[in-house]
Amino acid sequence: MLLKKKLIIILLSFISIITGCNNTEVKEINIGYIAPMSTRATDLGIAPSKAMQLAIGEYNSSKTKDQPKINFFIEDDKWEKSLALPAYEKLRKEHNIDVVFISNTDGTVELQDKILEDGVIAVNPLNNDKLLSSLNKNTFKIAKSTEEAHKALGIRIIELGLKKVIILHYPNNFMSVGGNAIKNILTENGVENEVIKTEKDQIDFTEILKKAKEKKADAYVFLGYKNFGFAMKQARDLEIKASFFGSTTLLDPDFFSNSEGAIVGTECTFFTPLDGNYILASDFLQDYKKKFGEEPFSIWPPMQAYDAMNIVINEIKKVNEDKTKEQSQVDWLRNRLLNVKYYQGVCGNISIKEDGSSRGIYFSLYKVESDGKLLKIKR
Amino acid sequence: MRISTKLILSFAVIISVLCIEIVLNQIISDNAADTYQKLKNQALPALRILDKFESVNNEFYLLTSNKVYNSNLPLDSQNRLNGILEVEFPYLKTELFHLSENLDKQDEITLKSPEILKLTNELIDLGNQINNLLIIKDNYSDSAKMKVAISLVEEDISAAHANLNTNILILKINYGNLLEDYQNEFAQNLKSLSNIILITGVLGILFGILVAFLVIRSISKPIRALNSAALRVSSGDYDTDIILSGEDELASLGESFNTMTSSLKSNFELIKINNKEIKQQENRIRKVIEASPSAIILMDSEKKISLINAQTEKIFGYARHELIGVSAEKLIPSRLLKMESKVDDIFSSKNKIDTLGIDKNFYGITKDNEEFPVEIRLSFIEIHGQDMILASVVDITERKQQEEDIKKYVDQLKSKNKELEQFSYITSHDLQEPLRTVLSFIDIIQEDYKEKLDDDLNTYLKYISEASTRMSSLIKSLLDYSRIGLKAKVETVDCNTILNSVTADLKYKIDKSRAEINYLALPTIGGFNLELRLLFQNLITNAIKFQKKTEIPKIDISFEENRTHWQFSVADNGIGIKEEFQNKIFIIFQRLHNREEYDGTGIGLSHCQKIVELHGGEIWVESDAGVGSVFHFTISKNI
Repeated sequence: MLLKKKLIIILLSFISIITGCNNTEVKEINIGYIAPMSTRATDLGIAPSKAMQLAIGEYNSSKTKDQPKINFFIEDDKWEKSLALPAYEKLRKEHNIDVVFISNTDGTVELQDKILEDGVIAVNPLNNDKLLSSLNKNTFKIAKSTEEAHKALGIRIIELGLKKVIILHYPNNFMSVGGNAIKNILTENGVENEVIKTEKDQIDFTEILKKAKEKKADAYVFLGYKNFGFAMKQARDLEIKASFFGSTTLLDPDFFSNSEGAIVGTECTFFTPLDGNYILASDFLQDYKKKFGEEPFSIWPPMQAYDAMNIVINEIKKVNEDKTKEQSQVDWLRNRLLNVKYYQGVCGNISIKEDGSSRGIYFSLYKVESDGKLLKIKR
Repeated sequence: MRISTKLILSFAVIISVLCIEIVLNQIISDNAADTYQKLKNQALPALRILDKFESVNNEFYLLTSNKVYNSNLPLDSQNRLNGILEVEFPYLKTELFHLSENLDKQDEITLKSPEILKLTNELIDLGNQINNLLIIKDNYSDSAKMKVAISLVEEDISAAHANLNTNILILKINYGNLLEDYQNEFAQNLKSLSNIILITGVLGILFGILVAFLVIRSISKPIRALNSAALRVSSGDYDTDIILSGEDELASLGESFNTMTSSLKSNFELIKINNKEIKQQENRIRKVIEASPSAIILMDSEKKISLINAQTEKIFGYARHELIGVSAEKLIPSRLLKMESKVDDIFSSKNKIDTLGIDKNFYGITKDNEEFPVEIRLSFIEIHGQDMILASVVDITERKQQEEDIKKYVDQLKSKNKELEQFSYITSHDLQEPLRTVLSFIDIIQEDYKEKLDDDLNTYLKYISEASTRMSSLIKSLLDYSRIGLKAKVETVDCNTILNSVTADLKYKIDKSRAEINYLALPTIGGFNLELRLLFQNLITNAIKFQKKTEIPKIDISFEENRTHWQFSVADNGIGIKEEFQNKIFIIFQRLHNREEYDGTGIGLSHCQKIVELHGGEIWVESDAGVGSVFHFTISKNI
């Protein structure tokens, strides 16, 4: 009787070992997205989240049975760096995410220690600057270069022969980096400039503008979000006739309404299907409209997010055929992403460099023609 | 050689041909697959990378030239140039590196890839230099910068670009030739494959035709012989024998055929004998049917007559041919065609037997439209799967007539009996009156002339009185006899109750004679209560009365139940009845002993007989003189 019991236990153990071996197959991958879904800069949160859902939906519906299913969870950081970590902790606790996408540059910095500790890959699908590239090995930036985009704006100011430039920027890393990129090119080329950091919730910029007017500034660069719409209106009310320039965020509808039309004529760097792989980009926009009923107002954030998510999916889907038992999932995925040298996405042909930053997405210069409408600038 | 062996050998040869074809195909297919893999994994990827390299190299040269000579270079072009420098060139370098690693060390690409990578790096470096020199429009006004830029484009970039292009071109030509070689080899493989399939296919077909011809010929000849023999057998020639040479299956089939014909012949002879017996049997049955005193009519489900016998012709007056195929309804008066429903009932139930004319008068009709009474018995039968009804018709004209005569006699007899009973009753009743007058006057004479009468006269008067009393008693008995069953009603009678009542009434006699009366539980029967009581009373009284002086009377009453009646027995140990008197005891007023020895009128057993007959039964006696008697009587269950 005792012998029989022992035999049964041995048999059950053997079965559990065999079953355990089979369980190494990855069935599901959980991806989180921390983004501004309310309060501020929602064009950098809502539309990209939909683009990512579209990419995941396309993958899940066409994947083979050996490929893992991808689950997607979103948390709102209200474009506040202080909310990034709690949102991340929540995603980890509730969904045990393997990959986190995060739009906010400051937020990305906030997560650094935790993602390394948890073995999570972080991807910023909107910004790609030198600061981010200096972060830890688990951080990837699949987006346009922040410095390059803003440098192009500085070159434009120089080529327009403007001599005195006031650069106002929102107090976060992205706008700060952008402002410095403009400042550097202007300074290198002898154009007088002043960088002014505004307050986070500031809506009255009259004093700053009055001083700038007194200094006879002939160019105003507004690097920030919808509150700078008030600044533009206040500037025109002060009869400031100088040229306006802006960042990649001008197409927020609230920006236009706050400016009461003063935004028209503002030049900025932007990205449209014409700047990427046109056919793929057009297909994406059609699919987006079909799924969500409307096209995104500001196109570049969802396009970049779509490419970033697809690059990650393109690697994740090979996990069960490529990853060895000895490799941890995070090491495997990091190596796979670092080996992406040519991904033909909607934004262009993208490669990922050794520092986790990407190349291949290049912004162009546009001018605001009316609410939500931009016109490409010819040199 | 057996046919199966021939076929197996033939198929073995064909399969061998197919195997050879498969092996050859496999070898050539492997070669083709190898060539295809080389095409797919070496030549085509190499050419694709080289094409892309060439294209990007040319685009790069155009963009850098354009950038240097055009101060208004669109930002799109600048972005594209950046894309080439940052993405396209590095990607192509990586692809080329991986490709060369997978190729042979002596392969052209492996040999030339270091040179190409070096030139690409050089171009990337030069492109970045141009980008750094010419950032804004003002840079184009700077002659020093422009001089350096032009020099970079026209000398360094131009040279590196041309060098890279030359290397790529050489590789493209080599790989183009290699591709063509692979394609030719692949095509040659396919052609060889096709030829082998064609040749082996043709050989296979020719061999197949040959084998088929030989096999068919070896089979068809004996089959024709078998066919011919089979036709002869089918035409009745069972002496047909065929001889097929060889030892194959057909020869064996020929032997089996001969055995079969022999067997068929003996079987047919047996069948002939059987048919003859069946025919004789049929004739016997036909004769029985024809000889039947009843008219036999066989009809189908549509009531069409298919068979009749001679009696049918006789009683209905039709000739046989006039009835066959005609509806049986023709033989029934139209007013009685209810028979139809009975016939239909029998067809639907399939096993029913029914009658017509038994309970109710039914008539047939002759050819001369004369009706006559008939009794018809209808039976369902199935003949050769067809539902039929067999009608047996009996002409009951004579019987009907006899029944009517009997009825008439019975009625007359009943009337006479009634009259007799009436006469007997009236007579008995009316005779009492003068007797009572005689007795009254004798009493008056004995009372009033007592002193005037001498002894002789008194003695005579006593005789007259006794005779008159006896006569009165006889008349009363006769009256009772005539009254039996007169106003009685049939009712349920418990024989136990009757026996209890009788023994109670006869208690004095029983006690006096110390008689033992034994009976077990008796049945409850249908009958006339008072009459049955009288019956038991008379039989028990007789048993006590006609007892030996030396013995105690023992009376046993028993019964038996039969299908139609009850049979009772009353046995005693009395004096018994001599055989010669046994048939006289039931005659009215018949006495076997003088009155001094055993009193009574001699009508008791006549009463018993009349009561038993009233109950549809019989009464008789079994007796041994000096031993005892057993009186048996029966009571019908259907009074």
